[in-house]
Amino acid sequence: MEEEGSLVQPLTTTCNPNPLFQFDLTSLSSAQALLLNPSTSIDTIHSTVDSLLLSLPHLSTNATSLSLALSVLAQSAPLHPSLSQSIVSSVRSLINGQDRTSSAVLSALLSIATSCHNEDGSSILTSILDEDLVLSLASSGVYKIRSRILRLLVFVVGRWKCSGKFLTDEVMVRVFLRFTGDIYPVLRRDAIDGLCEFLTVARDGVDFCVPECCLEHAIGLIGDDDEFVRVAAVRMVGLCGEMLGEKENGVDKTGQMDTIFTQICSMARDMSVKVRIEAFNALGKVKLVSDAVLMQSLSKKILGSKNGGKSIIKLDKASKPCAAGAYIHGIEDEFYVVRKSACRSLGIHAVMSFKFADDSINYLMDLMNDDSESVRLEALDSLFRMAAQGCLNVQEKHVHMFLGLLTDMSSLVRHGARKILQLMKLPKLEIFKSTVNKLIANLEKYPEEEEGIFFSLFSLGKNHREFSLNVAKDLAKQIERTSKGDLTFAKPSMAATLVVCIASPLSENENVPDTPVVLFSYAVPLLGRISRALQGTFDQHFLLTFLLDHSNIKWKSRDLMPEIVSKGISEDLMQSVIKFISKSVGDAWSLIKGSNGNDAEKILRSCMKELEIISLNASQAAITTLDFFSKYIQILQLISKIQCKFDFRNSTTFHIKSHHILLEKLDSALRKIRYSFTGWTKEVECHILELSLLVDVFTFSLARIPSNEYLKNLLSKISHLEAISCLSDFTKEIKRLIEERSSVMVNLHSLLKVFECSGLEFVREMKPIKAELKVVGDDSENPLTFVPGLPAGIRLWITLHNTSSTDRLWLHMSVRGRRPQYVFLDLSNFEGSEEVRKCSSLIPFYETPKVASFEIRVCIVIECLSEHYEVLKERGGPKYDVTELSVEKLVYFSSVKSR
Amino acid sequence: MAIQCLILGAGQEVGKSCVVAMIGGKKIMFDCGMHMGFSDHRAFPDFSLLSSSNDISCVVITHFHLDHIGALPYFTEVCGYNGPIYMTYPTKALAPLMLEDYRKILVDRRGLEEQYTYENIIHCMNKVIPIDIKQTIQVDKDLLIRAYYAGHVLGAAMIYAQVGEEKMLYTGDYNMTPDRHLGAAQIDRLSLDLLITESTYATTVRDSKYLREREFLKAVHTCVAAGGKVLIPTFALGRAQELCILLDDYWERMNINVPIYFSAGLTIQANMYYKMLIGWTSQKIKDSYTVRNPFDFKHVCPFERSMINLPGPCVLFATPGMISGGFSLEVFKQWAPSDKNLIAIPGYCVAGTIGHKLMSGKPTRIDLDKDTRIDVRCQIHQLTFSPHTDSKGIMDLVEFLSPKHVILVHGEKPKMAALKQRIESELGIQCEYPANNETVLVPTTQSLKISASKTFVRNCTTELDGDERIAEGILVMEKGHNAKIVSEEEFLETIGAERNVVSFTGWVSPLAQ
Repeated sequence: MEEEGSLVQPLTTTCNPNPLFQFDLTSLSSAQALLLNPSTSIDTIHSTVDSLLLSLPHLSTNATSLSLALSVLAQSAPLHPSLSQSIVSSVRSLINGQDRTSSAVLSALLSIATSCHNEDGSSILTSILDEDLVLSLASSGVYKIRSRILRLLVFVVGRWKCSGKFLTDEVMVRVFLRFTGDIYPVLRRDAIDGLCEFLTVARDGVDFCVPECCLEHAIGLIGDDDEFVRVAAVRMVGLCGEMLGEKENGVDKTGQMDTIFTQICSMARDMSVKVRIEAFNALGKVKLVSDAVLMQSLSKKILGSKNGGKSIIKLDKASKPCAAGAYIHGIEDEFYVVRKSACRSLGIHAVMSFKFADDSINYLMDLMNDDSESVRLEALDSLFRMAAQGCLNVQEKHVHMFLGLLTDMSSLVRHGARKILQLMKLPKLEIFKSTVNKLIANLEKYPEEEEGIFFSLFSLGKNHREFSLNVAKDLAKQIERTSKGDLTFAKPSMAATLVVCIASPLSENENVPDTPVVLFSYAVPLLGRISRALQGTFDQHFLLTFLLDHSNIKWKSRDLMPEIVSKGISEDLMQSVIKFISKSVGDAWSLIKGSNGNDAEKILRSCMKELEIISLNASQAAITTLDFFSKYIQILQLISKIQCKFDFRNSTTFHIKSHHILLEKLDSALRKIRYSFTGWTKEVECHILELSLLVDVFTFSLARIPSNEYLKNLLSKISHLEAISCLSDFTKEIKRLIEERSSVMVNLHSLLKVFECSGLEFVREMKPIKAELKVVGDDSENPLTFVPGLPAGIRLWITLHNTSSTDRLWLHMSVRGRRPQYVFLDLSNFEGSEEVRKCSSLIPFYETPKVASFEIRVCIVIECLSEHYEVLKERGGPKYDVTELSVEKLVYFSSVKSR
Repeated sequence: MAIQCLILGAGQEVGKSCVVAMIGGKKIMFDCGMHMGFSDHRAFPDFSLLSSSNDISCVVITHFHLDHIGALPYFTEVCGYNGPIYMTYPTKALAPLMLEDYRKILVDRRGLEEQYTYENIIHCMNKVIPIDIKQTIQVDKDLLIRAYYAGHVLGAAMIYAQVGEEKMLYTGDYNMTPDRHLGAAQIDRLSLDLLITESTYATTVRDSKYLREREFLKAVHTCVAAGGKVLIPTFALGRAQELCILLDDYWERMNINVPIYFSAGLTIQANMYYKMLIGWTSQKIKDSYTVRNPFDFKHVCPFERSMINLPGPCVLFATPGMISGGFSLEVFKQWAPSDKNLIAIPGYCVAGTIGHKLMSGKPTRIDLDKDTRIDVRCQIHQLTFSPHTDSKGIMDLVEFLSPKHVILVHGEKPKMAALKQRIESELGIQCEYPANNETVLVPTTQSLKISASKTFVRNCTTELDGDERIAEGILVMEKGHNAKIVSEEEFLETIGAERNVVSFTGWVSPLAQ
């Protein structure tokens, strides 16, 4: 502030008008520094600007100082918009002064105007400029003045609509046209840019003759020596062509459009890349071009005039050679930007003319071989638009190249190719078959694209009814030949071919009687995959009913299936799905009991898969149930495995260790299911408890001599069960055995026999207990810092769902190879209700290792209060077993020193 | 003033390109090539037509092909020219290899007498001054030359020469459509007095290269997909790299795992030059160079003789081209009898070679000599890739440059005549195609700086006639003074004359018919 004060001192004196005061360079630069410094106070700025403005008239004799003062003012105007008006009104009188002064004034005006908001900028100029002034400045002999007034005009014309006009449209256009003949290329370019701007802004408002006049001038300039002038001129020719094509005046415009088109074509061979890009962009804008000229642009050879009408003969001499092969040169260009631009405009014209489309498809297909991916994508885009307009006529010679795209490296290209295939009409059965095969190859190589591939196959089958019927018959024959249960049909190719076959019956209800019934039955197991691919076209339920109706499967319960109305899976469907799974689980259990573990495993695995697929478009509530069931099935899978081992135990060698591992897994899975859900029914709770009893029985029988602890545990569970409902046979049996003090092991088989495993139902009220963890300000790129040996803080966002106040939650933190650290989470610190609790807290991690960097794993665990009592006391951690509630998060640390 | 052109070679023929142009009093020799069809004195340009080999200001060589450089050691070492010689960096690097290779073939294989020795070549190349693209070289006080990119082969250039106001361009061989590994010719807008252009394909209009590429790739892909082997006999420089980039790209995109081999002798050296001279290749290569050198082919591995009969598909590039002997013939013998295999022949084959036999009809057996007979059951694919511009390209270049005169060289007479006709009728530019040893005189315009008197300028600005400004004045040229344009009054003042007005009255008899 002291500095500011000292600088203000000499300037404030100028406020007392002292006509003799002259700014020297030093004070000007001080003023500049003050004005540009963002911390200068408003008052100082105002007084500085005032004194500068006051001194302007006195400086008029010294052109250098004056222009410097003006440039200082111009620089400060954008920073202090409030001052603009006063600056502008002060410089108004100077505009007609000496050459240097007026150019300085103009540049100051320009910088003020550009810094203002749209309307303010041009209204400032309107207040100063008028027609006479503009004309006199525009005809000045000084380059600087001309260039600045031109730039001002270009600026104004861009905001032509939203401001008062100081020039009529006609004068404006005339001024620009005059500048297109200037000897300075920069001015020529700016003038053309201004005209383009004018035409775009005043698009519909201008008279027909304006674009015509502009076109004439632009054509004169496309041969300019300067590259930038040529670029601008070509752009303007394109723009005029576009406008003239759009305007209706009742005259046939083909001739005029042809001339414009050929004129632009002649620029396709320019040596400048920029000009070529602009030329092809412009070609895309010119519509209504005659077929003959378009065809000529695809052939380097001059086409004979025998196939055309009058217009060609007229064009023959002058313009036709210019158009010759323009597009060929474009797509063969060395620079990919040019090729891309050529490709785009080729696509635009191809959509509008069938004859042109037939020829241009050759070149677009050839571009699939281009080395630049963006060109290939552009070509695909053009082909897609052609296909959408129905003018894509694929010939046999293109097929190899096109189908090659389906196995292209780039997923974008593959996607683009499939998009076109969905619309394509293939001429021959062989091509159809090879297309299907290529799509299958695509599927085998990139299985993650199954959805898209199936949809393409479906569209392909739908569009080619006859061909797909042919394929269907072949497939049916193949199926008949092979024995049942042949695994060759489990391949993805089978699924893909089935999609093709069912497409046309499904979409149009045609071919139904002709399509072999067996195919529909084979398609049923693929329902989930097919319906995912056809999302938005058919819903799953419709698909299922359709397939079942036409297949030879007798499945009565299909009538019970509810109608699916909205997207997503309704509750009713969920119930039936759960019922089905519950039933399958029951089946599997009876197989387990019958020591048929392998078959049970198969059933359970398919149930898992089904759950996975369904959960993809299930609602949030349904997901909880599905999640529960998948966890439940996992437990059954483990039990099945253990059961197998127990069977073997008597006969051959028995790995007690692996057994323990399995039991440990089972135990933790059970813990997880017990403590991750809440709100279940009595039946479910009983069942889960019984399962846990079963696990205990396994452990029991393994230990051979059961400890009292275990017995106590068992009894407590049984009494818990008694409290909830009446005991099942299984529990009764255990109770009896314990009371009789007989060996459980001996009776393991009989115990398993009485264990029932079915009847689980959809529980609407079930809610997940879960936690979300977010580490603030940390990722592997920007780790948190720590001092080795000292505690480090981790800022965490914790969200808990459905936890009760009696739950004991811990934060579990571990560094690899060390004992974990637990931090108790006091639920009273959290905000919110039982449903959702939230909290952000800084958790300390105490034992930071003496290394440069390390990572810790953090997760939230819940203490399983009804489980075994564990010895974790001395660490100050949980006393009971724990189970995870959140996903494990990695937190990265790097030592302060290593930074 | 005029430019005087002496066509020493490549006049109405292809071979021994050599043009001596006298521009503004300076003699420049463009190219100094030999004719591959002759081995006697006709192989070289007739240097005796030059009054003295040392009144030539400089020799400029456009590229390393023998028909453009073959006679250079002879001219410098035997004829005794010792002025400056200019060529681009790649040409300087590759030319000695080409010259020595040819000298060896001439002496060792054909047993002919050599025109110059190995030492001659080395000595000659030592005198060469390398130039870069768009580098302007002031040869002496008046003469400047500049090189422009010409495509065609690695290091090919078009040469621009200027003395005072007289400007000319000698194109050498050039290509207006880009390859995968070389760019298209690139030139500025120059207001030329004379353009000397090649006209190899004076009447041919070539189709899109994509078609050829597509067919080639399809043939190769189908063959390897069916487990066949593909043999591509090529020469070391140019086509081999072009096709290899094409295949390597395709392999990459289509995820093909079939190996591509280069026979050992061929590429190690050639690819090394390409890798070093990246700046002279196409835009695509320059773009991708920042990530990876495109001449470090991903799918290419070196080939060993023992691998010829290994099972499984592969693609092999083998030297020499045209299957004229050597390694490519050895492989051909092994692979030709299987109908699964493919022989792809890029480019032209000289009569008498196996390549030529394969291209002209599909023979079922080839008798190599009286004891060896090869059954040919393999497929044959012919590719036509040419690094020369076609007639459309020539016309485009002429149109773009719009010179005052055009001279056609390096072409066949009837085709040149047709092209001359087109240039004259369509573009309105005078055109000639002189034969060897003919001299052509091309008039040039000379521009002269004149000053204008103030009165004249004032008159100009005031006498406005609509949009057009017409001013009348009198040009005064005096010895020892600058030319000056003055107004009528001033002129009268200077010569001290008075203005007299003579008026006439005419009448026409209405009866006169």
